[in-house]
Amino acid sequence: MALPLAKTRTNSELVRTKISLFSSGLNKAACEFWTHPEFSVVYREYLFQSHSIIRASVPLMQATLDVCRAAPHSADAVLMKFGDYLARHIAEERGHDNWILDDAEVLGIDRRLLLERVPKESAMRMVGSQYYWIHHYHPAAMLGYIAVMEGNPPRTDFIEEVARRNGLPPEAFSSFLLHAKVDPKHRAELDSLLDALPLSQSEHGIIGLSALQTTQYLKSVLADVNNSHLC
Amino acid sequence: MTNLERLKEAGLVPDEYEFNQNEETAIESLTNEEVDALISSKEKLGGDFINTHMPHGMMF
Repeated sequence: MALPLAKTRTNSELVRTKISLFSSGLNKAACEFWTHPEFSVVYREYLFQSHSIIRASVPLMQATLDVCRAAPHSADAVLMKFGDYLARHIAEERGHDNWILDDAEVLGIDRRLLLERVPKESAMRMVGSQYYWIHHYHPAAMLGYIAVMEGNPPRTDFIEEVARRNGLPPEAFSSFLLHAKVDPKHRAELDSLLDALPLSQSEHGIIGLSALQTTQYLKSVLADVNNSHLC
Repeated sequence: MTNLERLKEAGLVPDEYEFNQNEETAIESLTNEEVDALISSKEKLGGDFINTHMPHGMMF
């Protein structure tokens, strides 16, 4: 049974600790990806899967914003602040899917192939579940999705070492390198938002469930990527 | 039954793992639905990868 939220813990500390607790399987899959013996093969699949997800980020946030600003949520104190955050953040995230296409072109992959290939089920389930939360239950769930997606940014030196170790040009990692610069700030902004929100126990539960589901879906996406060399 | 007891009973917490105060607070604040989802996911809490902070690479 859930106890009342501890006063000494901020909202962001609670959400981040939950994500850390939920993420051992995802961390294991990520470790297998970065150390994959055929990394240069599975990285191409990663680019496809990543593009499938990132091209949905702005439309997903726009859909969330629309729901936050409409009845019956438009006077909700939590969702009004979340909506203000989304209105700013949408502009910051626009065009990031093109970074992935640029990386693919460096590896000789025609960007049209990524745009035209049918998305994998794992990516569709991950993004699609958020549309269900937003339209049919509560848009605060999207906070859990964003917290997972922007909560663990890559470091520049880590990415450069991966490129060097696998004999790949650093230009094929521009999306990672650009996110390494912007995501720490985005994570801090989301944490500030979380701490400013008067979240109820129920809303904490929704955010936690959404975050847990997102980590599970991400684990499936990475499992598909890690096994792609077998296809 | 506490959340931690439920998770242990479901086999999701390695016997040797000791949670820090933040983790204990987070676990006991989980709603029944979150605990049910965790049990359903069979996701182990604790262990080698819990604090790895490995970038998952799927960015927003």
